[in-house]
Amino acid sequence: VTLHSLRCLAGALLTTGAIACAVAPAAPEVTREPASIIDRVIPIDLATDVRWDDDAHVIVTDRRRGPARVAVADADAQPEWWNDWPAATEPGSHYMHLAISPVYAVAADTAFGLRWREQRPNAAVAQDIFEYIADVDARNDQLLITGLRRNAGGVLGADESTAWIGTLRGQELTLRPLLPFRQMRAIENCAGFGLAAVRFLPNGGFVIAPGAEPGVYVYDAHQRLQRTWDTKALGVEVDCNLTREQSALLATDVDARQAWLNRRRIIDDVIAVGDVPYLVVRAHDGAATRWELIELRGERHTIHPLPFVSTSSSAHVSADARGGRIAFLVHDRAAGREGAAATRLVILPWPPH
Amino acid sequence: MYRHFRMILMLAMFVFAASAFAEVQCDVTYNSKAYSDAQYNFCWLSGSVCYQCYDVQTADSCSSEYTPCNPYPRRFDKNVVATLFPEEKPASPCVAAAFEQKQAQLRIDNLL
Repeated sequence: VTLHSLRCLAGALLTTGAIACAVAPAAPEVTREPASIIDRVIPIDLATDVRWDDDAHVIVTDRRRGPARVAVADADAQPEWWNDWPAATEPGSHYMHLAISPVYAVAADTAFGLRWREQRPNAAVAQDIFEYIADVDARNDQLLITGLRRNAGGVLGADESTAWIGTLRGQELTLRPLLPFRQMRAIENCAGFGLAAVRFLPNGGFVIAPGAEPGVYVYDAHQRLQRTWDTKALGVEVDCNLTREQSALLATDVDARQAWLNRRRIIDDVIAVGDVPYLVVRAHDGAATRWELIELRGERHTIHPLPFVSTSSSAHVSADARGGRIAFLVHDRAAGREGAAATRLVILPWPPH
Repeated sequence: MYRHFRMILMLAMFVFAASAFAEVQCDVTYNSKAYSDAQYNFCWLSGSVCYQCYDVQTADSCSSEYTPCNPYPRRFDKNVVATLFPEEKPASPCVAAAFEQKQAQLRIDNLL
């Protein structure tokens, strides 16, 4: 019996971290989970993403209505909608991903389009096209984006890249490829599954988790690759080399896709606590959906089971860290269908006391 | 009297049956694949022949590979494959082609 398994057993008896321990890879340290300070339902039905706005508010996107400012502590306060952002109508205009910097706000659909706007009154909303957007982040006027892109001639993946960095200045995106894909087909097979995440670090570096392909990549502020984490060693499953039949089914059958995701440990999001990246890893055990943070510090990783669960099998989490707290948006991908769980905002102190 | 009643009944049944069939239009995008989630569906990326079909009256739609799909049960809202933004900027040549096809169809519909 190892120290790790004893810690897991204790954690399982005392906490909600049983499943995380049961499937965790060997050697990581499992810490005591933090106490929740806020866990409440928020009135945003089709919530998709979250970012801190200031110490008392977060911005949450509703995929149809757009971004809304939500008071963290005041449960009675209503969301303040950003009315200058147009409501979604067709593919390309939904608000699936959000990124906020002091200078710019960015919102992207999964397919075809993204929008951005300077953070000043009466600034115009610019927009551009992008075939597949798996995630975005912003730092000052910089944009970090992952997915697949067509070139001017309409060729998909012509630059053989699945992640780019560029500037939000101007009306059109100017992007530089960062990370090549291994097999474009794997990225296409899992497009729209929500497996990828990108995030800037406060020091100007950034993290890319392609999701559909192995590895978590950490870059410095000079856009040089500093470290690659093996997703297998982190206990994250990556297998998007699907058959043609699997690919067609999972792309069009929402329930089959969710069932496929529920059989795997996947990355729901990546956050930065200080300059340390954390993966938000999701697992479903048949009865509940649980999450853990995997801290990627130096040469080692540490697993922190999170103290909240969802009984919905289609619940996923988006997250953001600021000033010693992490905001988790627990949202249901089946939102709009009967039986979907309500959107929750969970605020945890971090690191845990 | 009975014969007239039977004719009226048959005519009523015919009108009822005809009204149950909506006009369905399908756009085709080559080297593209279908995607759906709980809110929308469309053709994107590469690798197949994707049909985007919708009820012309209600704009209910679905997308499917290889075979045009049944637009029922009701989906969420209008969902036209090639309309991206209010400016209707096409994402790719194949989407642009579908877009042109749809615009041409709409022009014909308006003329008729």
